[in-house]
Amino acid sequence: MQQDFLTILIFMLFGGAFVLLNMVVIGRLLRSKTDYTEQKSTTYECGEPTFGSAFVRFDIRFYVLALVFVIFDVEVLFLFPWAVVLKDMGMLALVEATVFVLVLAVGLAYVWRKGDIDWIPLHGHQSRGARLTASDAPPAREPAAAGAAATAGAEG
Amino acid sequence: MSLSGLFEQIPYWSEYVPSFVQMLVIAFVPALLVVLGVLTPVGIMGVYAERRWSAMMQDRLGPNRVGVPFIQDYSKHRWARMFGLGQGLADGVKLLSKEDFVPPGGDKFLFLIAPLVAFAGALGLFVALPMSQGLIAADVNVGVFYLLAVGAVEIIGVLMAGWASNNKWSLLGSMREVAQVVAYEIPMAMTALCPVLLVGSLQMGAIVAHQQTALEVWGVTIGGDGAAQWGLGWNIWRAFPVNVVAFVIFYVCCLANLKRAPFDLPEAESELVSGFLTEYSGMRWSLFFLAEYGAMFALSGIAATLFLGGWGSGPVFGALSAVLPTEPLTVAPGVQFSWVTVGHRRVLVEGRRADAAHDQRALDAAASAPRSGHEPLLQVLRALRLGLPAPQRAGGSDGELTRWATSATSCRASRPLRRVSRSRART
Repeated sequence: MQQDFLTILIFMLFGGAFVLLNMVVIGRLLRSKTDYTEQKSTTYECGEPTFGSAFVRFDIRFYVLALVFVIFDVEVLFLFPWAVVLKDMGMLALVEATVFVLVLAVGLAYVWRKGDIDWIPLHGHQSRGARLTASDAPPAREPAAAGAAATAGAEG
Repeated sequence: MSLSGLFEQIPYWSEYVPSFVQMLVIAFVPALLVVLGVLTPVGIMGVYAERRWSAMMQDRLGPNRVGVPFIQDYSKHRWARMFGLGQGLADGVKLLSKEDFVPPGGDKFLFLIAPLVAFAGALGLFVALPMSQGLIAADVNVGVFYLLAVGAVEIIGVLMAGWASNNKWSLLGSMREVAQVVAYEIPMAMTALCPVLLVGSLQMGAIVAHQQTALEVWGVTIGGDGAAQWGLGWNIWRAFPVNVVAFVIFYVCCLANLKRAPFDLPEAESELVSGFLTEYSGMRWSLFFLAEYGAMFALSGIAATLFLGGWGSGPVFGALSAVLPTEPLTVAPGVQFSWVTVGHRRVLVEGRRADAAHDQRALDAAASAPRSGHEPLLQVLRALRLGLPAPQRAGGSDGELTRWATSATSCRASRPLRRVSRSRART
């Protein structure tokens, strides 16, 4: 057991060392010197001058999905040890796990019926429709004085 | 014989070598073998194979130039070009020599560390992947659980990359990817539990061993231990209809987790440039790809171990696996990945072109497109995509065909050109 996890640790360390050797040592030897130019440092958004920060807030719907995910991921987590011992415990374990899954399935049915896992809710939750949140709206554009390439990350 | 057993053969090994040095060496050797002998070649050759394969399906040539650079004027000698086998290596060297660009305004530390995290997620899968009898770096007793947990680490790297790039495309791409993986993680874990239920162990070695015993369907024993060696003992046949369904679900979830084609929204090239990879360059960029192809190989191996018998798949495959220290059946799902990917894309491209233009000529050209060896698969895929109008067999002239092939695949139609030059040479 100890040996197994030591192997995993050393595996990871070796992988990291391999990658760093490639990137930091060999890569640096192969690379030619490059200049810093302002053009190069702009954010690539298909040639348009960028506006606003890229660090926008995520949509709240991602959090709802993530919460539902966590609940069911924990469910699966509990099912793993159960799956190992099912053969030995027999019918009782099967019934118990079925009850456990059914309880969570009721929760899923509730969330589903409520429309919380629909990306665009069909009924209820009028305030949370498919509109943009305030943080997604672009701020007033600054006068482009310095030309197309100057504003990268200036507001970020 | 296991790896530690091999070391026991060395004289004075257990007597004179301190035990912690023994442990370190036993741990170090598989790491060396897997990183240099499996992961890197899989990454390099996987990209080459996919490019050649998709080129074949789209009637292009694909990379076929880079071969042995030591022969003078090698590009003239067909065999020295080695069918472009050197392409992956050349690309690797090229990527190493590219600038290591960090976008200003982004989160520098996260940006630098993100590819490493993604790579670690893929590398960790290889630790508990049984390659052949005894050829497993660490047969952890929580094997399946470990694999699912480590496989999910890649996402953290992707999210870090998207957030740190200071680019809206990157952020959108990584958010899509996270949402997608989160959605498919649970069915994947659930279906991975089906073989575990049958075997009663999470250990990969135990799962393989269990599939070498006789098959029993609904209380009836089918074949003996010998038949089990020929694929009858696979988990996919046990508890009969259940595990077939489980395998299909597991496969689809694998496709989604690896963001391969029907599920390639995170990298949607036409709208998000390339998603979270937009600001990356050089070696860090290729680390993401190494991670992706490595995870592809490893997940194929996991699918094969859970459902298709793993390395113990019978005398034929067994003999093969004695020669090649790889899991023979990993190849089959691995090929499938690229197959589904490219086939699907080609059908979509044809369909969209026809739908958008309402152009009967485009349809005709699609119907009379040059036959590659994959035509039956394409027909099945066409049938499955219900909205697609059935291709009609009308005679498009050769000129139309060439034009279609040129425009649809947006590359030089090398084959017709070559034919022309040959006939000129003859006359």
